[in-house]
Amino acid sequence: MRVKGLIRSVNPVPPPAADQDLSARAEGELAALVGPEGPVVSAGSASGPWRSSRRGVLLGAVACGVVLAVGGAFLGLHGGSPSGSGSHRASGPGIGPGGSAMADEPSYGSTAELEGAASLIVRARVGEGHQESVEGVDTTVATAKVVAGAKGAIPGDSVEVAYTTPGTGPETTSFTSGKEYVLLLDKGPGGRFVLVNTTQGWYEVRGNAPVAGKDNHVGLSAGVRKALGLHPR
Amino acid sequence: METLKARSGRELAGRFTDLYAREQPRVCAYVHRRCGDRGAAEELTAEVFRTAWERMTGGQEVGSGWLFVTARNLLSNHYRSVARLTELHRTVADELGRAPVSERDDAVLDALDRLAPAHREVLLLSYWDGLSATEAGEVLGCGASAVWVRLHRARKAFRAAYDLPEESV
Repeated sequence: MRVKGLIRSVNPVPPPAADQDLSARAEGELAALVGPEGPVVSAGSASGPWRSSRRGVLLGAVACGVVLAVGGAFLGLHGGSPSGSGSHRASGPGIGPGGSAMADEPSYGSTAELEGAASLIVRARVGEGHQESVEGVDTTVATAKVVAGAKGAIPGDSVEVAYTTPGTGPETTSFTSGKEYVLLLDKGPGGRFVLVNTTQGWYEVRGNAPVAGKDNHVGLSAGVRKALGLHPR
Repeated sequence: METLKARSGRELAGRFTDLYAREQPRVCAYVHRRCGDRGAAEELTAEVFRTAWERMTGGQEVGSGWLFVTARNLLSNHYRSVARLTELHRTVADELGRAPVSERDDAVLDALDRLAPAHREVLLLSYWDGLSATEAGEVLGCGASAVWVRLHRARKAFRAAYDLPEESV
């Protein structure tokens, strides 16, 4: 079993289901904050617990309570301290933008998704490279001489690509110096590029055709192949 | 005719309600996993959202990452010593009336307990709490790309710890 599966199997509190209702206590807490009638999850909410049972209730039902509550805050904004009572010990950073990608290496199920994830797609000859340690992870940085480009602006006749050194982790890329590859890249720190995925971010060029790695079942589009001067395998 | 203030208030309440409905169960589960007490988790989560509401009515934005950071800060105020995961897991299982963990589960929890805190945290944020790289980055104080690197390193460390025989530890 993989690391993720092993660790998930011992999760003491399973993740809440998408259609899970709020607890009575949570509903009460919410009502206490925004109004006694209980507001409504907007139609755009993807997984609101009240989506089935409460969607029909209009926001207007709570307008009075809400306006009273928020009005006080607006008064505070215009005439008092904007930061509230200041009695809370918690503190947090600024805006939390969230994000959709799970904290694991993303896997792409289709050609469109895979190619869409790359800001740069090139056919290039990968050089020897040198070793660096990035936050304790062995990393190889290699210069790849660009032969052709299919997507994105190529910053010169070569790009610098950083990837996890082969053999140092469970999922690594194995490039052979001097060989040609199709690289699906994203911008990384310091002007370098990184593979969009260690298993799906590269194709070896053999006989003028792209050959995917053994764990990659997604092919390149005809448009990308054509731009790179490649034939289907 | 609806006043501007009324409309703004209604829109703000709608945004907060969406956030609450979407994130309250996640934040509560995050806290519950770390304090081992459902009631305490609900109380602390309520405090997180009270703070969020104050912040939003004060004109500031609140995102999911901020909620988890605030929950983490409140946890550190209320729960100074974090129990070992094996003990915490047993406490939650008892509370929820679950069967005791299997031998394999025990070994996984033990391996997690033996990891460096930084490794353990990124693994739990990712695989238990289901945080996105951006959310985890906010909790860990780093960017999303650094989360990938840390997760990679942590997985490697976990593999080593899980495979080690007991005598070697």
